[in-house]
This record gives sequence, C-alpha cells and structure tokens, in this order.
Amino acid sequence: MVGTTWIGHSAETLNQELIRVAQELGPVTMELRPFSPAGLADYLMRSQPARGESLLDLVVVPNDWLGQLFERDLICELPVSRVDALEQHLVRQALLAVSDHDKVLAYPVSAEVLALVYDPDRFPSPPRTMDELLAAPLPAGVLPFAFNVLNPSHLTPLVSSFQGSLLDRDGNFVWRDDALLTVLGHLDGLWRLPGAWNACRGDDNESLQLQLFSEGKLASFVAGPWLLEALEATGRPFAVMPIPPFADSTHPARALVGYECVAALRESRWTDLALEAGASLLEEQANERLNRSTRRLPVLLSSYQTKRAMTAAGTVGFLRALEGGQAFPPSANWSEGFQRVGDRLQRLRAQARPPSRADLERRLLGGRS
Amino acid sequence: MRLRGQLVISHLGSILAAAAIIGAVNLMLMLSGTRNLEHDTLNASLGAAEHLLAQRLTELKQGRDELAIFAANSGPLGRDVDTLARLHELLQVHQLVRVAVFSGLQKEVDAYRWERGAAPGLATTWLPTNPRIAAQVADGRSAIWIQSGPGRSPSLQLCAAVPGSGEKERRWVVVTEPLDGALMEDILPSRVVGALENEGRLLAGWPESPTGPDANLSALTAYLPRGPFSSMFKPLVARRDVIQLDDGSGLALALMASPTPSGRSLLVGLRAWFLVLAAGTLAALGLGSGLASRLLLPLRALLEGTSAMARGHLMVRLPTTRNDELGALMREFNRMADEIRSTYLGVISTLAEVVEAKSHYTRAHIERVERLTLATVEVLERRGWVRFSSHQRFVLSVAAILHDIGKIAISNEILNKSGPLEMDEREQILAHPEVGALIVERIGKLERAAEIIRCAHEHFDGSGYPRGLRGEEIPLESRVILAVDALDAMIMDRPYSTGRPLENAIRELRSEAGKQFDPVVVEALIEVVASVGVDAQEGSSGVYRVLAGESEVLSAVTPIPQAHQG
Repeated sequence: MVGTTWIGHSAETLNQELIRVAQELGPVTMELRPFSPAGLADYLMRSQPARGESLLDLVVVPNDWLGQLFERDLICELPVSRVDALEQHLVRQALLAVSDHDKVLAYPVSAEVLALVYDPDRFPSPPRTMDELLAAPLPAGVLPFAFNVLNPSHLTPLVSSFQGSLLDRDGNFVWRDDALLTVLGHLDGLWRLPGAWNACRGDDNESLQLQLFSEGKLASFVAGPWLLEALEATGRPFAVMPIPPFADSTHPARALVGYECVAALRESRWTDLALEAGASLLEEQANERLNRSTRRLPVLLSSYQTKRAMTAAGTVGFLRALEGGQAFPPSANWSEGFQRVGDRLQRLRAQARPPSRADLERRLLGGRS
Repeated sequence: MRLRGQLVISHLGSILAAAAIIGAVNLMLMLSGTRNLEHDTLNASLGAAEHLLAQRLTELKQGRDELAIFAANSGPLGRDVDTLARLHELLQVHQLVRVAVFSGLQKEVDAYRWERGAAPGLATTWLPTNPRIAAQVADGRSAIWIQSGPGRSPSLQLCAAVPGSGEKERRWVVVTEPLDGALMEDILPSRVVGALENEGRLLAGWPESPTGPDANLSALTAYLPRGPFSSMFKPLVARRDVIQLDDGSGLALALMASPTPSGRSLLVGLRAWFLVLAAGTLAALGLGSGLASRLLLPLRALLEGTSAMARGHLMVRLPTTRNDELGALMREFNRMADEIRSTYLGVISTLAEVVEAKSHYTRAHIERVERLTLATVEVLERRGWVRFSSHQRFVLSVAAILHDIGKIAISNEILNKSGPLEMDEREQILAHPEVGALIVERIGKLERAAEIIRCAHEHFDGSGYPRGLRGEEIPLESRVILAVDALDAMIMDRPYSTGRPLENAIRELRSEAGKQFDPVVVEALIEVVASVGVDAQEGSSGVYRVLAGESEVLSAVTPIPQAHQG
C-alpha cells in the first residue's frame, strides 16, 4: 500500500509505474492510496491505522516531511548498500535534500523548482536583473512581470538575494523584515501598473497569469515545470530562466527546490520489498517516464546528460534554476518557519489595492508583534 | 473387493454426493448473494456519483448566475487584466473551467483555468445547434445543453441571459464544463470505471475516454481491477440519466465495476466446498468403517461358525441378540447346527445302544463314565493341566460313550468267556479298540474321538494295547477314560456279582497309578469322586444325558477357543 499526496494525472502516472514495478517484483500487489496533505500527515502521525484501514508500506511525500517522520520513528533509514548506489546515480543536491546528517531517509524521485517564464519576443535577450525586467519598454496594458505575492516560494529567491542564508543558527527558516520590505519596495513600481496587483494576489493567479501570458498581456511570470504543458498548448513562444536578482542585491537569487521522495514506513510488514519498490522508481526509464508525465524535474545524473533533457522546451531553464536553487532541508524547523512566513504573506490577501509601504509594514510587520 | 471396502466406499460415495450437492447449492446461494450485493454497491456508487454531479451542476449554475450579475453590473466587458482577474476569481471560487460573456454574436471576454486542461478544442458558445434551445436562449431564458462536434471536446454549456440586457442588445453568459475524465474522477469512487453518455453516445470515460464511432463503456473493461475468477463473470453495469437537458435528452452516467467480489466469493466458496468434502470424506471413512464393523462382526461370527461346523465342531452356537436380518440369519444357522448336531447325536445314540446291547454295561455305566470323564477333565483344567474347548468336550463325551464300541466285533462267547482266552480270541480282544476307532471314524468329523477310543486301553507304563503306547504318547482323554472306566467297572454291580466298595476301588486306582493309570488323572478322578461321589448328577451336562432327553443346554461358542494341553 502506497500513500501519496499526488492527485489526478500525477497519481495515475505513479499508479501505472507502481503496477509496472509490482509486475517486475513478482507476485506482489501494489495499491496507491491518494490522501490530501493533511490527511496523509494525520494518518502517519497516528500510532495505529483506523479500523479497516491497511497499513501503508511506502509514502510519497515532499522532502521537508522527512525530518519529522524520522524523528517520530515512522520511516526507515536506507541501508548503506542502497545509499552507495544512490551516490553513484543521483544528483548530489537531491541526495542531500533527503539526508539528515549521515542518514539517507528516502529515495528522491523528482524535483520541483520555480523559475521565470518570459516572452522572448518582449525580451530578445534574457533579463539579467529584476530591474531590467521591470523597466522593459512594453506597450500599454502589458505587464512586465507577475508572481504570487501570497506564496512564500515565489518571493524566496528575491528575499534570499538580499538576506543571504534563510536559516538562523538553530536551523529555523526566517525572513528578515528589512529584506522582505526591500523586495516589496522594489516591486512597488510594478504594482502601480493597472491590474498588476490583482494579477499577483489571487488564489488562482497561476491560471490567470498563464492566460494573460498567452494573450500577450504579460511579459514574464514565475512558474513551475508543471505549467510547461499548458505553456506549450498556448502556442505562444516562451523561454525559461532562473529568477534574476535585483541589481542592488548582495547575493544570488536562489529558488527553493522541493523533492518528492519515496520513504519506507517502519511499521510495514514488507520493509525490504517497499525499499526495493522505491529503488525501482529510480531506475532510469521508470524515473524518466514518471517525471516526463508529471512534468517534474529529474534527479538522476543520467537525465541531465541526455539529449532529450537538454532540448525539451523550457526544461533547460528549469534545470538551471534547479542547479542554482536551495533545497528544503528535511527538518521540522524549516517547515514550521516556512509556514509562519506564508501566514504573514496571507495578510495581504485582503489588500484590495496595491499596498503602500505603510500598508506593508502594518500588515506584514505589525501582526508579528 | 472385500465387503468392508464395498461398504466404506458406498458410504463414502453417499456422503460425498450429499456434500457435493449441499456445497453446490451453498455456492450458488453465496454467489447469488454476492452478485446482488455487488449490484447494490454499484447502484449506491451511482447514487453517490449522481449526487456529486448534481452538486457540481448546482455549483455551475451558481457560477453562471454570479457571472451574469457581474456582467450586468459591469456593463460591456473588456479583456483588461482587472476584468480577467475578476473572472479568474470567479473561476476559482466556483471551480469553473471556462466562462465567457457574449454580446450578441460578439464575445466580450472569456477566461479559463488550466488545471483541467481547457483545450483549444473546447467550444464555448451561447448559440446551441438545437433550434429549440436556441429559441429558448434567444428568448432570454437559461438553458443547459451538450455541445460537441467533430474536433470538439464534448462539454456541458450553461447559458443565461445577462439581467437587464434588452432584446435588441441581448448579452449572455456561458459557463462551460468539459465532459472529461477529470470531471468523472471527481465524482467516481475508486475501483469503478465510468462514462458519460448522451442518447447512447459515449461522451467521456474514466480513466480513459474511448475514441472512435464504436466507443462504448465496455472498452474500459481493461481498467477494472482483476481478481480470482473475475474473468468468469461479466462486469456489473449501472446506468442512469443524471442531468435533464433542455433538448429533452439526458446526460447519463454509466458505471462499471469489476466482478472481483464474485470471484473472491467463488474462491471462498470453493475453498469451503473443498473443506466440506475433505471433512465429509474423513467422516464417511470413519462412519463407514464403524458401520462396516457393526455389520461385519456378526457376519464374521457366522463365517467362523460355519467354518467350525465344517471342521466338525458340532457344539457351535451363535449369539442371537440382534433383531434384524443378521439376527434371523444367525438363528437359522443355530437351527441348522442343531439339526446337524441332532443327526450326529442320533448316530452316536444308536451306537451307544448297540454297546449297551452287546456288553453287560448299562446305560448308567455309560453315563457315569462320560460324566466322571468330563468332571475329571474339569479338575485337570482347574489344576492347569489342560484347557478344553466345548468342541473338545463334545468329542470327549462321544469318546467316553463309545469307548467300547469296538466290542461289537467280538463274539459274545469270547466276551462272556470266563476261562483263559485262546490266542485268536485274545487277538480279537486286543483289536477291539482299533475296530471301535474305525467305526467312529466312519461317522465323519470325529477323527479325534476315534483316536481317543483307539488309545483308551493303552496303559501309562506301556503295558496296554493295541499299540503299547506309554505316558504322554497316550492322549489325555484316553488316559482319563481308562481310569474312569476301570473305577466304574470295579464298583459296578453285575448280574452275577456285587461291585467292590469305592474305597477299595480308589485304593486299587492308586496302586495302579504310574503303572496302568496316569497318576495325575488318578488324583483328579479321586478328587471328583471324593467331592461329588460317583452317582452325583448335579451340574452334569453330558452328551449322553442330552441323548436321553434330560438337557437341551449346549454351550455357545463364539469364537471357538483353541484347546491346549498342559
């Protein structure tokens, strides 16, 4: 039994791969059980499954869950023999993202990172800074840039470009107020453009931004690799690059990199089989099928060396963002700090008009104390 | 095949046949119940899916109405960012896929979400092809219909007139819901495949939409979970019109479920059936074996009785406690044995009468010899010297009665001669045991009695006749008869003389012990005489008395024990 937070097409693809793995492993039946993130967390944190529920053997979870699961003794550490194999075939950053000191807690099967999608017709050469992006000469009614101001992942690259490390001495995820206000201050000019604030704060603004981009009303926006298919369907030319920093920033703009991981649960009656199934998802062809179908980024070294990876539209840009990004460490401190930052940003949801600096200080800083 | 095997196999066959029939009926009932349960479950799933689809329709209508109000309040809409942002907010709130606002034939604005893959082939129009609905919409009334066509993904269109827009400048809002797998995924339970149909035409399927003119629900069979024996059953299908459309047709939801529970039920039923058959086999073997034993025990007794009778064991008698056919058979056997025994005894009786007539012996002498012989043997048995079966007792009785039958070949002159015998006379006397043995042998089945008679005049020290045997060479029965006959001869009154006193006779016996008589036999005989006397008749069961009609008691022997001499 495999638990996952994946849904829809991704879940169906994962299910197909698991069926294939089960056939290769012999007389094994594998069943995928989708959960909501809260539902899976609730399931895993319970000591016993509810009546009538089967025990999970494997879970597919984001890598930042791993620390908490390992602290609670819910998942198994990978045996040394399997870690040796991973070190030879995985991108080192992916391996670090699922490691707690010297322990490897799961198999990373795919990566996600945010990057800048831009219209090459509007920017003949890739913009080197955010200032260059925002100052581009565009026709009236065309926005130079959009992102989701309520989503901390979208702002993290820019904040980190002013702040540097996002971790304090205890490993907590923190945004310094000055860095946050500096970033938002630099975007003040953007929000003065008609419709820009509304394009950056909606719950579903990814879809809105995609429509605006496809209609030529948006020159660039922050997007994940899962939008590649939709971008291709618009028929409009697009290019992808890492999110650039502001010109006066002191550090590179590093996007957060999340990994989807397969971890074997300690309570499973078939731990060895679960570990074998997890390893099977990292076989070259299986992993490529999974990530191509779910529009996630690969984690195998070989994937970066194949012609397909280098030529697929937009993939190179996301891979560059992945290389320069920073992975969620598998610790509870990180998750909680990230959640607190997200909660602060949600205070801007009710801001109907573009916020002034006073508004930002009142909403983002005032509520903290 | 042995009768026991036949009985067990017959019993086994009966029980297995019964178990097979019961198992088959049980299996059919179980399968029928499971099938009904599967149908009920699928219908419940269909009901739940219908409910979810109705909720979705409500959501779509709410989105349509809210969009109409927004369009009415905003006036003609442009494709500016703020308008699109507002529309996307509406899309998000009501989880709509695509909305559009029309003014006459002109599209003012549309917006779409990409999560559901709003493909370019998805048509959004306020103008339905069905003239009846077109008239309804043109008249300003809301309508729901299915939009599809070559190259177009089928979709549900919900159209409403914008409030306040006049007939000349009519505006419409349209909400488009793709009829696709994503919609079905949201409403279908797991382990079930499904399809949306309109007038028998398949619009969309889950987890895949079959394509082609012959596309139908059965193409989705490959996606159903498989289980044991599931290929033996047809997948279950449930179908119902769930949304009534304005063209008079309905949007039907068809669900198909794997017959896995039936297959599992069959597997469980077969396992149970096998267990019942295995248990039935064991029970049949146990019960059949027990019943066979119960039937075969009297038959075996009958067989052994018949066999014993054939070997000359005339005293055989079977127990007659059963009241069934076997009991009747055993009673008939006893009756037949009685007849045979009676015939034998008749012959013996005749011979005994000949002996009486030929010699001076009276019936009383013969009876005493027989009785004392049997009593002496009983003492010997008690002392552990010998163990006689009833047949051996019968043989001993016959030998005792007929021990002097050979005398009929001796002329009366020789028998009654008081002086010394001539050589040929003496030879006649010495030959009479052999003659007697030959006579008895002719009766048949009495070889042992003949041998006893042949040796009844042999002396313990070898001085007897006809063969001069000694000691243990002489059959015990012969030694007993010799001693008893001598004792009775000594004490018997004769027509011309009175018998000697018993004490003298006993003294004489003792004096001849080890010479003429076996000392052990002498002591046993003396004990008999001392304890019950010579003439005592209590407890006597001699054959001679039977012949005289004094007793009908014959011991039953089943089975016949083997005699052994000490």
